[in-house]
This record gives sequence, structure tokens and C-alpha cells, in this order.
Amino acid sequence: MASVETQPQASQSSSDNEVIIETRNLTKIYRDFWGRQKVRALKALDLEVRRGEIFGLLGPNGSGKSTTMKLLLGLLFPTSGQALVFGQDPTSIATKERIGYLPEESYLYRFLDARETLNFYGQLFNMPADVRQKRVNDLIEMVGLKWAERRQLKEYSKGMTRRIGLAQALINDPELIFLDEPTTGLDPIGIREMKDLILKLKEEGKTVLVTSHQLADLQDVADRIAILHQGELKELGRVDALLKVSDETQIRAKGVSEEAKAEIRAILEREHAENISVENPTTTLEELFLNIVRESEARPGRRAGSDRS
Amino acid sequence: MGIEDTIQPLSEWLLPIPGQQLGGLLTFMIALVILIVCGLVFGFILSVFRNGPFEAFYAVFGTAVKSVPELLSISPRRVWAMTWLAFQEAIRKKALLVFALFMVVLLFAGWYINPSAEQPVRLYLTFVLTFPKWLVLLLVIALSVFSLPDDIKRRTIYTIYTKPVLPSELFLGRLFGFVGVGSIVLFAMALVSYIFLLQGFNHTHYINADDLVAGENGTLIGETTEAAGHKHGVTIYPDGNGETDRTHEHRHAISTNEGSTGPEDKYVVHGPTDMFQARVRHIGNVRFLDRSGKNAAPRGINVGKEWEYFSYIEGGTFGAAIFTFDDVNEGMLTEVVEGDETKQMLPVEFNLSVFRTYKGIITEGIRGNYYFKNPETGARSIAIPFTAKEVSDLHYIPRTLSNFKADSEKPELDLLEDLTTEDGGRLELWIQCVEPGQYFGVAQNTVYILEANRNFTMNYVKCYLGIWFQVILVITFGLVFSTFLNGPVALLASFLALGYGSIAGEVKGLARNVIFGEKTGWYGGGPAEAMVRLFTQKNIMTELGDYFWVDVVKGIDMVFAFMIYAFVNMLPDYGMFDTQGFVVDGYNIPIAVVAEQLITVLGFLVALVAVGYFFLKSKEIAA
Repeated sequence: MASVETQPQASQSSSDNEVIIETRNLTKIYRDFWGRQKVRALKALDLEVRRGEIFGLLGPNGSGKSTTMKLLLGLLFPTSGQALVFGQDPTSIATKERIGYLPEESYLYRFLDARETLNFYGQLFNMPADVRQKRVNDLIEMVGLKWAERRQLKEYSKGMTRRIGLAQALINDPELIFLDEPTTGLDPIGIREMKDLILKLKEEGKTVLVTSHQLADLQDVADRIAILHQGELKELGRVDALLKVSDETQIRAKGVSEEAKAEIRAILEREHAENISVENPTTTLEELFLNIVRESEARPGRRAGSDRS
Repeated sequence: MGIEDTIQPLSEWLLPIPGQQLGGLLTFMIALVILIVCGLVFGFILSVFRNGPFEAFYAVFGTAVKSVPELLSISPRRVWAMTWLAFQEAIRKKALLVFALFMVVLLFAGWYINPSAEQPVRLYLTFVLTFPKWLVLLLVIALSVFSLPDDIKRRTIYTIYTKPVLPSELFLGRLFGFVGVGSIVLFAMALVSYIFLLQGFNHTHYINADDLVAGENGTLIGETTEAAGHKHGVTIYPDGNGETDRTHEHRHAISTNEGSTGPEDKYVVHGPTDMFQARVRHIGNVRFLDRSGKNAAPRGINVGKEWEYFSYIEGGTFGAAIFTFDDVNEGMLTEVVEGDETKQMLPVEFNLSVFRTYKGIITEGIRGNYYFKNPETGARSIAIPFTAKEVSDLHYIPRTLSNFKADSEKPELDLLEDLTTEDGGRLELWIQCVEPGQYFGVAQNTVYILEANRNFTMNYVKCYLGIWFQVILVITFGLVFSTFLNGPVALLASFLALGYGSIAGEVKGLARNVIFGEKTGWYGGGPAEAMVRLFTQKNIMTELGDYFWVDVVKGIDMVFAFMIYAFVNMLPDYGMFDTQGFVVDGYNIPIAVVAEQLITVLGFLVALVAVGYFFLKSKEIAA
């Protein structure tokens, strides 16, 4: 994806600790027509998201992460507790002017084309025509849909729809972006580009709240994560701290001979270490795939990975 | 709306008349207050359900307080964006196909609408004013009730609700968009219908000069050839020009063909005229005298199950119908050429009905006479005989009429100077039936001074304006229903509202009767009295007695009646927008009617946009 011009966030360094999202005892109970409780989707959630961080909401299906996001977007009303975005009610117009939202599936008007779609959402932000046109052009370039900008969205593939969905979420150059399962439906290259974009948004000082059940996606981009299960907050903290296994040691080195490996193993055994493993590390399948694609693009016609055989 | 309806001036319609009507303004205010109270109570109950009683109070209070600045900070650009979206949605869902359907039906309509019918204008006008209306109403109902529920179902609404869009902007945008689509389709249909109307009647007659015979005063008389199932009687004046009689609701002008080659083309019969009229009526007040010529009453004799609007005067008796016209003035006179003279005359049109107790000569009509009388001085003209033909019958009354009294000093009376009062310009027209055993049917709006014949096209436009107002209301109601009901249920609700609209007049009448006591003889009372009777086991024929508590119960029922009266005004009376009757009958639609329609639509729009706003505001979109 190409880059797009955005406004630097005001007084970024001085307000890094500013709380952008805050939930206090946030609870959501779904009821039936007669008011009887059907399901308690969220139980007393306390959460704070600070300016400039990428915050991940993680959990299996039905854990309450989508409910949390909908409460923060004003699409649902809390049963009890409070949700504040920029210190205000999520339904307030002032809040909505500063946020962008990419839904789980791109819920867009399928009878519009890409340009009409972005133009329409731009108008909802009261953007003057000239500013809007420039922004629309930039975003269409950024998401790589220039070639299909006049096609109705109903003719788009899932990946293309996600891209135009992302473009509409960024139409107002938001300070806070909600991404609901942003990598769903994307191919590995699209996933990588999405992750790069999320990191780029962070570099620009924007705050990102992202939900996903693709654990690897969040691991790569999130500063902090909250893990929800059955509507309850189970874990909250920095990703690196949460993933650190404090009672194990990992040594990584290049060009170590078999003799040296045997010697290292012997030393560890002598020190009574448990679960000793001295072997070549494996890469992730995503890394492997991306390397192959990059190599193939760099040297067309050559079978990728032939060096490894 | 049509011949029966008495049109009130706008100021009279708006303001209350003690003991008769609440007036448009007061009705609107009462309905608005009830709407607000119901909204607050409903909102509070809903909020109690969600948040408990204490939170509910603050939630309702907060929403009410916030709503004022929100409703005032509507952004035209966002409304335009939503309008454009709704318009695109309708167009791309192929809403314009309705117009194609209309065109197809119109192409085949010529087979079924017979221009040679006795009243072809009525037939054509009824078709072109009814069919497009219902097509467009069905189209806009379908568009308005499914749009929002579809957005919620497909969740496209999420991307709107997370943008800085007010619920009122969402509502107004859709309203304007669908009104735009409805207007375009309606305008196109009205235009095509108008062309269809004009073309449908075009026909040509010929005159053979050899067949004409000499008439009175040097005229030639005869007949045209037959075309479109009819022919006309012809009168050619000495100057070579002439005209036909009025048959099949039209007449033709005739001129001499300068370059004629034979008797067949000596005269040119021009295209049909006078088909489409927009007559302006100056209506008087009618009262009836019984067979003895006494006991003035607002209604005459009831002859049984006839058109209820008419009541009857008995022939061969002193029974009379007396019309009193106010503000009769010189401007109402029209110049009529009689031979070589141009005379000032008062055009009075009779639309009398006839009830026969014996058949008589059915083609000749029933004889009667009329005369004019000054209600102050008692001066009256001699009776002028006429025959009631049961069709519109225009009489030109000479300005000078013979005096009924044998007064050698004043053998003639001036219609304006002598027979009209100086104060208020009141003139009385007395109508009597002279054939014993036969009856004239008379009603308030059926005999009038014909003030003018306005432009038909303008009348047609005014009629379509009424249809357009209905389109706006139907869309607005459809949208309101769709804010809290799903598509199919909202569709049903819209149809019910439309159905209620057609009987709204009767429902309002019922409530009005209770409030103003216009109809007596009710048994059982209202809900409070009925409750008392249930518990005290008193049937509806038993008197409750003359006690204080009975007055209290009746007072409570009166409050209920007022509430019902206000409640029935919360749904529109579509009958008031239906001015087809005026156009079909050839009467001008008074501008007061259009103004009343416009004010009513604006009143409903204000209230319904507010209702739509609150429903959307309190809706959990993702629930």
C-alpha cells in the first residue's frame, strides 16, 4: 500500500499518557423482548487505552471483544458502567469526528463505486469539496484501487472490499482508529501490508484499537493487549511482558559447529537444566511465504528456495 | 374533496370557532403536546427497563435537553450526502421501472377508455389522476419502509452511525432522497398523462353546407358529421362564424373556409374546446321552506335513500330553496352578446337533482322557476321558468329584470341596485319546482354564481400538488415506522395508515360529535361511564341519575373524547389532499385548499422528523 498524507497529531510527546479510551465497570447484558436476560456479554470491564498505542483485544468467538468495540463506538448502549472516548460519551458527534472504524466485514453500500463511497463518507465529515477530492485520490492510491475506482463494490473481491473499507475508516484522518478483525479475508501479503499500515499509523501518533483472534497478528503489532473470555477480562498488559517466559533461557547464534553445540548441551546438563533443546530454529510459515514472494519478485523465473535445497 | 365540501378561508380553518371546531392550529398544538407527553412516558418506561428508575430519569432528561441543540445543528452537507445516497439507492434498485410500467399501461389504456362515452372527460381525468397516484404511492411506500431496516440488516448503518451524523440528518436525508425520486416519477407521469389527455380527445367533425337550414335572426343551423361516437348541433351566425352545441362535455368553434372548393369544406370545424374547465364558484347559504312556504330549515325533504348531500323541495307547493349570496358585485357580471347588443349578465349555474314520483316524459326534465329577491327591501323579480336537466345548466341572468309588483314607476329592477342589499351585497335566489308530485334536489354547493373559468392546466397542477403532498406524507410515515419496526411490519403499518387516511374524516367526525354534542342520543357513554355501568350492573338504557359523580364521570369521558380527537389528528386525513373531485367535476381548486394542504404537511413533517429523531436516537443499532 502506498503512503498517504496525514496530519501530525498535536502535542504528541507531551500527551502520550493521555487516556483516549476509558471503560469503568462496563457491562452489557442482552435481553429478550420481555426483558429477560439472554446473555451477559460483558462483565464489569475496566480498561484504559492511551494516546499513541496499539491496543489489542483478544479472545475467542463470543468473548465480548466485538461487544466492547460496539459499546465504544456507540452502536450499543451499556447496561451499566460507562464507556468514554476522548473523555466523552461515544455517541457524541464531537467524538465521532475524531474516530475511524473498519468493521469486521466491510459493510459498505454495494451499489456505489470506490470513489462515490469515499466521497460520500467524506461529506459526512463536512469536508469541503476540494479537500475531500484530494483525500479521496490519496486514499484510493494508498489502498491500490485506482484501477478499479469506477467499479461498483458488488464487483469487488473480499480483499478489495477490505481495502476500500480501510480507506473509508481513514477518510477523516482520525486520531483513534477501531479495527475489527482487520486481517480477515486478506491474503498473506495483504495481512503483512495491513500490519505495516497499523505500525505506520502508530508512527503517525494515532491510537489504534484492534480486535482479532489471529494471535500472531496481534503479537506483531500490539503494544498492549487485553484477553477476554466469556465477557470477563482475563489478562491485560504489554505484549512483550506477557509473552516473556521468565524461567527459560534461549540462546541464538549463527555459525556454531556441531562440536560446540555438544559442548553447550554438556554444560547445561552439568548444571542440571531441564528440557534442554539445542537445534536449528524454524521460521514462521508467514515469514517463509513472504520471503518466497519477495525472492520471486526480485528474480522472476527462478524457483524460489532453490538455494536451500 | 369535491362538490360537497365547503372550503373555509385559510384564517377560518386555522383558528378555533367556539362550539364548532378546534381549528388547525389548536389541533396541531394539542396533538404535539400529547405526542411529547407520550414520548416522554414511553421513553421513561423503556429506560427504566434498561437502566432502572433513577438512571432512566436522567437518560430521558438528558436526551430531551440534548435534542434541542442537535436538532438545530443539522448540517446541510451531511443531509445532502444522505439524500444523495437514498436517491442513488432508489435509482439503482430500479425504482424508475415504475415509470416504464406506467407507460406500458398507458399504451394499452386507449383500448379500454372509450372517448365516445357520454362523459369522456370525467373518464379520462379519473384515470390520469388515479392510476399514477397509486403507482407512485406504492413505489414510495416500498422504498421508505425497507430502506432503513435493510441498512440495519446488512449493517451498512454501522459505517454511518460511527460517523458524525445526527439521527435527524439520517432521517431527513432519506426523506429528501425518496421525495426526490417520487417527485421525478410523479412529474414525469403527470406530464405524460397531460399529453395523453389532450391527445385522447382530438377528433374532427365536418359540416356539409348544403345540409344547413335557416334559423332565427339570419343564422344557419344543422349538424356536424359523427366522430368519436357523437355529433353536434351547429349554429352559423350571419358573419360566417359559428359554434356547435355542448355535447360529450365539449364544443367546437366554426369558421368559414376562404378557399373552399365545395359544400363539404365551406366551414372548418376547429378542435374541441371547453372540455377541461376550472370554474370558480361563488357559493351562497341555502335554506329551505316547507310546502306551506314557512318554517325555514337548513335541510329540505328527505325522499329516502338518495345522495345524502341533497335534500328536496316538493313541486306544485310553496316549498322553496333559498340561496343567499353575499358580496354580490359588478365584477361578477359578464358581457354576453345577444344579437347586435352586448349585455351585462350574471352567470348562475344550476346543478339540480330530480326525484320523480311518476315517470312523466323522461327526456324533458322537470319544470321549475326561480326569481331574485332583496332580503332587506323585499323587492323581487318576476319568476323565470326553467327545466331542471340533471346536468350543469348555466343561466345568464340579465342585469335588468321585470318587477314582480305592478309598479308603474319602477317596472324593472336592477339586479345590483334594487335586488342586492347595500350592506354586504346580499342577493337571494328562490328556486321552486312547479310540477306537482315531482321534487328538486338542492344542496349548498350546487347552485352558485360562476365567477370565472380559470386555467385548467393550473388546476391540474394543483391537483397533482395534492398527490405530491400525499407522497411526502406516505414517505415520512414509512420512514418513521421503519425506525422501530422491521421492513414487512413497517409496510403493513404504512398501508394501515394509508387506509385509515381514507376514512379519517369519518373517525374525526365521530370524535367531534361527542365533543360538540352534534349528534345526540348516544347510549352508554364513553369509557368511564361504561366502566361505571359495568361495575354497577346498569344497562345502557338506565339513567345514572342527577348526581355530582355522574357529572365527574361524564367530564372524564369528555377528556377521553378530546384525547381521541387529538389522537386521530396524529394520522393524516388523506382525503383532504385528494382534490381529484374538483378537477373531474370541472371546478377550480381554491388556493385556500392548497395552502391548507401545505400547512398540514409542514405540521406533520415537523412532528414526524422529531419522532423519527427520537426513535433513531434511542435505538441500539447493533442490538
